[in-house]
Amino acid sequence: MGIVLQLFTSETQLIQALSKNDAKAQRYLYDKYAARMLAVCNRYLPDRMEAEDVMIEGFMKIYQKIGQFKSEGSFEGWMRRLITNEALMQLRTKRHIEIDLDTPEAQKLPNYDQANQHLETEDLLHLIAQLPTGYRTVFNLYAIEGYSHAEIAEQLGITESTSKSQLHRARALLQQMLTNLEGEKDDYSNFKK
Amino acid sequence: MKKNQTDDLFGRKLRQAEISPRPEAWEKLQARLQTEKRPLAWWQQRGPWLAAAGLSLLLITSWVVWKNQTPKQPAMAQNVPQQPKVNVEPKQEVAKFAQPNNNLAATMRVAEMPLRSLPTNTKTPQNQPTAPEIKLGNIAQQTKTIEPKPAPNVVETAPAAQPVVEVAQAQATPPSVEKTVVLQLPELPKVALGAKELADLPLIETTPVEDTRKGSRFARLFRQVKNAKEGQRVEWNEVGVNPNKILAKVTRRDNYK
Repeated sequence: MGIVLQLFTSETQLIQALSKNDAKAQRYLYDKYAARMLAVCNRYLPDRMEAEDVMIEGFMKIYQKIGQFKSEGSFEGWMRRLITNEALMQLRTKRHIEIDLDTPEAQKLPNYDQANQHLETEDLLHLIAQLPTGYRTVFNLYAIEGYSHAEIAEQLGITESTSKSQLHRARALLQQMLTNLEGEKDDYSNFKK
Repeated sequence: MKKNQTDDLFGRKLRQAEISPRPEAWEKLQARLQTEKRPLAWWQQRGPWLAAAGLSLLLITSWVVWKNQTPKQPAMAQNVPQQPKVNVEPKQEVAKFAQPNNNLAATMRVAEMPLRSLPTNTKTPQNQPTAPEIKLGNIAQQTKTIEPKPAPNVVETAPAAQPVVEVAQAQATPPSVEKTVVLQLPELPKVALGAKELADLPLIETTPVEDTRKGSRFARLFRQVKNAKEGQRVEWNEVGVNPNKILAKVTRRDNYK
């Protein structure tokens, strides 16, 4: 592995080697980004095995389309886009992205500072996984990936207003979940005391 | 902004989140890579190019073959009447027109009767292959005019089949015989003079003689047609035409007249 790292000291060298279908470069890219890309897939697909399959398919696309990468943006951002598109394709093929419209507003806002300190990545992934598919997809695309509502509407085949409403309801649900989680943690800490 | 707080919380925590995949995941990916590499053989990667190259090669070869064949066809058509087929066709026509030939031969013999009695017949056979080549056709058609000058050579050589054939080709219909005899009268002196000159030269071989015979046949046929139309001469070496077609044209002209 040390030899491999020495070979690809810069990103451009790595991309050049990948464009030549260099096996060492492919392995190096996988070792460096597989865990991050699997987390991306898992945000859209709560099933870990399914997310892993999509990640593998996404890496295949990265290896195949490496020649299309232009060094204008970040290489990781380009890879994340490909992986995200692959996850969305999986959602489209296997199940429809249901659009839920009747979600109650959160009655109580959570304490975000406390949540930021106590909640771990696994907890947040668990919360997102509990969202309906439509909410989860729009929230992931907008809040985490940074897509605009127009891009989301184009990707999912919905209107921008639907995307906005889905995002609004996803936030409300997450706030409610965070508040409930805070209450459980407070109860747990009080129980420990 | 509560919206941004939720987005920031999840964005910060999850944007760089990592979940280690199982070791089997790389094996799956490696298997996919190998399966993807297998079908990418040279003939698959360059399949469109190979197809285009094969198609172009096919077109070029077909064009070359076509181009080689097209000049051969007219060449064959020109050669056919000159060498092998002309020899065959007159033989067939000889059989067809045996009766009119016999009649003509009878007339010729009748006209030649006094010539055979002449003593000059013994020396002429040596020069016969040259003299009859040019004269036979004219003589066969014009028995009366030729008789006084070089006719004896023609009669004794007796390649009777050849002159008879020429007559048969030129005169498919019996009434045309009379017309041709009249039309070729002005040519007689020229032919007779050539025959005399050639009679003194015994070095002419047989093979070129056959070619000249063929050429003279066409020339005579066409001269007959031309003379029938305009009275002008035509060089027949430059024109390759099937004698049967000429014959048909001649007969039609005669019939129309």
